[in-house]
Amino acid sequence: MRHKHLWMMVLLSSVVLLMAACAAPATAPAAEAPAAEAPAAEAPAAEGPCAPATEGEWAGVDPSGQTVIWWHNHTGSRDEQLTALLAQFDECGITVVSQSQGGYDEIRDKVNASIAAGEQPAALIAGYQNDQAFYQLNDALVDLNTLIDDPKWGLTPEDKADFYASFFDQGVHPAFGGQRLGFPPNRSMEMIYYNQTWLEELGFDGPPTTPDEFREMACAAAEAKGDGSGGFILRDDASAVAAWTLAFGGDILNEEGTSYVYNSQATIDAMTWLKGMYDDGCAFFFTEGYPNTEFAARNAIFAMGSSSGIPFYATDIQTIAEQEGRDPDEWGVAAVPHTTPDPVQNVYGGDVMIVKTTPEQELAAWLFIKWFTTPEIQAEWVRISGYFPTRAGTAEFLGDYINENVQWGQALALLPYGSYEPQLISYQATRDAATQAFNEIMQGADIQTTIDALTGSANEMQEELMAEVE
Amino acid sequence: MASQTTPLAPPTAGKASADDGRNGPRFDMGQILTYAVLLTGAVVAIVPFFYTVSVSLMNLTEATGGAWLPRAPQWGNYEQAWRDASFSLYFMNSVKITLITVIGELVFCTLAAYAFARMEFPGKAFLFALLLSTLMLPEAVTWVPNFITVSWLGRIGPIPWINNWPALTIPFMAGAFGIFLLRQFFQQIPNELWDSAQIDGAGHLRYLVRVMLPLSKAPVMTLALFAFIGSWNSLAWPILVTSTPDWRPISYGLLAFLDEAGAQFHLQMAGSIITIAPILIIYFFTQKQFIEGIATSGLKG
Repeated sequence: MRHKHLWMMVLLSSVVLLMAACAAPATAPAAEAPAAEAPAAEAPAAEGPCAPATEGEWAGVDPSGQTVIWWHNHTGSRDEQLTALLAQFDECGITVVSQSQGGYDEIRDKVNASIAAGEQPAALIAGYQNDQAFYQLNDALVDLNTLIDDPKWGLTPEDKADFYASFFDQGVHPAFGGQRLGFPPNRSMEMIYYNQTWLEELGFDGPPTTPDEFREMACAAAEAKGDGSGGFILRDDASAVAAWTLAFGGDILNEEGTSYVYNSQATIDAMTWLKGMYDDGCAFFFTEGYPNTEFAARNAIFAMGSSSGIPFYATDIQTIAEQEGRDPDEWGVAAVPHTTPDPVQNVYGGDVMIVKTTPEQELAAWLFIKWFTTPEIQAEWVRISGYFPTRAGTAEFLGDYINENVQWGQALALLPYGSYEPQLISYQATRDAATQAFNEIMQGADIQTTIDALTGSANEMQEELMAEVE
Repeated sequence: MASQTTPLAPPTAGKASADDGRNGPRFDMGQILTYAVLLTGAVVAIVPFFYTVSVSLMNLTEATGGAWLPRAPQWGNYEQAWRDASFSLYFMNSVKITLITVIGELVFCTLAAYAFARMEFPGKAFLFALLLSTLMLPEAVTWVPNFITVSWLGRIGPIPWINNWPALTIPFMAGAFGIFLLRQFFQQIPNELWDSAQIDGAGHLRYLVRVMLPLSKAPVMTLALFAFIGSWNSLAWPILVTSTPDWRPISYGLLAFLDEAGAQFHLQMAGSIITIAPILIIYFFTQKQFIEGIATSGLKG
C-alpha cells in the first residue's frame, strides 16, 4: 500500500498513453493523399482518354488512380449533398474526397500553417482571389493556364467561351505574370431582398431602382412599423461597401487595378446617403448574424446580402409565416439601387486552387475541376447550393429550376451587369478595415477623413506586400 | 479576534449606536450599495444564460421576434440540434480529447509546479519568468509555431500528430497558468513537512504524492476544471490540426448552424446548451473545491 501513492504519478501518465492507444486509430493526414494508389505495377495505357499525353507541358503524366483531397467551405446539409454529388465523378479511377474545413478563414489558416510547417496542404483548396496571391508568395499554387491550354487535358475554345468572362478572368493575377491561380466553381452576387407584399400594402408597385425610391420606401416602412426597425437592414460588410460604390458609379479599385480608391466621389455619395438613411431611422443595424430571419419576420422591408442566401430566405419566410398563421409574403431580389443608367452588380465568390504536389495529383485535381464545371454538373451544384453557375451553357439544364425559384431567376438575369472585387494580395486585411470604417462612419465619424485614412492604409499595406512579391 | 468583526456588523460606539432601538431598523448605506452592486452583477451574469436557454426552446418566429419566453417550449429543438450537428460523434471526440488533456495537464503541471516551488536549480527564477511571460501571448499568435512543432513531431515520431489526438492534447498539457496556480499553493505548504518527510526517508516524488497532493485537493480540482473548460470549448486549434471529423470536438458541430447565409438561432442556442451542459454539471459538483482553490492559491483579488 505504501507504494500505491508513490507510483500514482507514473500510473496517471500511463493512463494518458493507454487512453490514446485505445482511442480510434487516426486517419492519415488529409493532405497526404496516397499518390501511390495508382497501380504502380501496371504500365499506363498508351491510348484512351486517360492515357498520358504525348506532347505539351503535361506529357507523360498519368493521373489514373489518384486520390485528391478537397478542402472546402461548405457545411451541414450542403456538405452532405456535395459529397453525394462527388460520388458521380468517375474519370480515370480518380477519387475526390471532400473535407469541410468550416469556412474560408479556417482554410486560410490551415494552408498558411501547412506551408509554414512544410506540410502538404490538400491538393485542392477553396479560397478567395487575394488568398491565391498570398499563397503564391511561397510559390505554392499551380498555374492553371498550363492545364487549361493543354492540347490533351485542356478546355476547348467553345468551353472557354462558355464561361462568363468576369468569372473566368478573376483568377488571373497580373502581379504574378498573368498566372491563373484559381478557377471559379460558382459565384454569388450582392443583392437587395425586398418584401413585395409589404411594398404593395404601403402603396408601391414594386422594388426600387434608384436610391431616392429606395429611401422613400424604406422610410415609409419604418414609419409604419414605428419601433426603430422596419426599413433597411444595414450590412456593414466590405462587399456591401464595394457594392454601394459600384451602384453609385464608382469603383474601389483604380483603373489599372493596382491600388485602392475608397475615397472617390461615388463612395462619398454612397456613404453620405446611407448615413442619412440611418440617422433618419430608415435603416438600422442588425448584428446578430445574417438578416434573413429578420426580413422573414417582417422586421425590415429591405435586406442586403449574397444571392447564395436565397434558399435560406425562402425557407425562413415560409417557416415564419406558418408559425404566425398567415400566408407567406411575396418577396423578390433586385439590383442594388443605382445612380448609373444600368445596374452595376458586385459579383464575388471563392475559387478552387491546385496546390503544387506531384504532377499526377495536380493533373487529377484539374480533371476533377474540369468535370465539376461542366454544364450538367454545374446545374446539379446550383440545385444543391443556390450559387450561380460559371458557364452560360448551364442554363439549358436549369429551366425547371428557374421556373420554381423565381428569385434565383431574377438574380440570374442580373449577371450581365457583374463587376468584381479586388484580387489584390492585401484585400483580406483591407476588407476588415473597410468594415470598420463603415461602422465608424455610421457612428458619426467624418466621412472624408475616414475613407481617406482607409485608402491610405490599404494602399500602404498593398505596397508593402507587393514589395515582397517583387 | 478583533479583526473578525465584519464590516456588516452594526456600529458599537458613538452617536449612531445611541440611536439603536429607538428609530426602528437602520439601513447601512454601504451594505445596500454592496447588495445593489452584487445584484447587478448577478443579473448581468445570469440574463444572457437565461436568454440562451429561453431561445433554445423557441420556434424560429419567436427566436427572431425578440421574445423573452417561448409560448410553448420546443423540446424537439434539442433533438434536432443533436442530429443536425452530428453531436454523437463530436461529443465522444470531445470526451476523449478532454480526458486526455485534463489528466496530462494535472500530471505535468503538478510536476513542474513542484519543481518551481520546492526545488533549487540554476536559472529557476529566469525560467519561471519565461514561463509566465507566455501568459501574455495571445492564443492566435501561438498557432503557427505550435502547428510547426506538432507537425515536425509527427514526422519524426511513431504516430502522426496531425489529425490525431497528440496534436489536440499534448500542446496543452503543461500550461503556464496551471503551473503558476499550483506553484502558488505549493509554496504555502510549510517547509517543516518536507523536513519531516526527509527524516522518514521520502524523496521528492514521494513527498509530492503523499504529502503535498493530499493537501492540494482544492487547487488541483480548480486546475482540472479550468483544463476541462479550456479543452472542451476549444475550436480554432482543433480545426487547424484536423481535416476530418474523426477527431473534431463538439464545438465544431455548432458550425452546422452557421450556414453561409443564414443562422438557425433557436437550434444554435440548443446546440450551445448541449455543448456547455457537461461544464455546468462538473462545476455544480466541484464548485466548493473550485472556490477554495481560487481563494487559497493567491489568484483572488
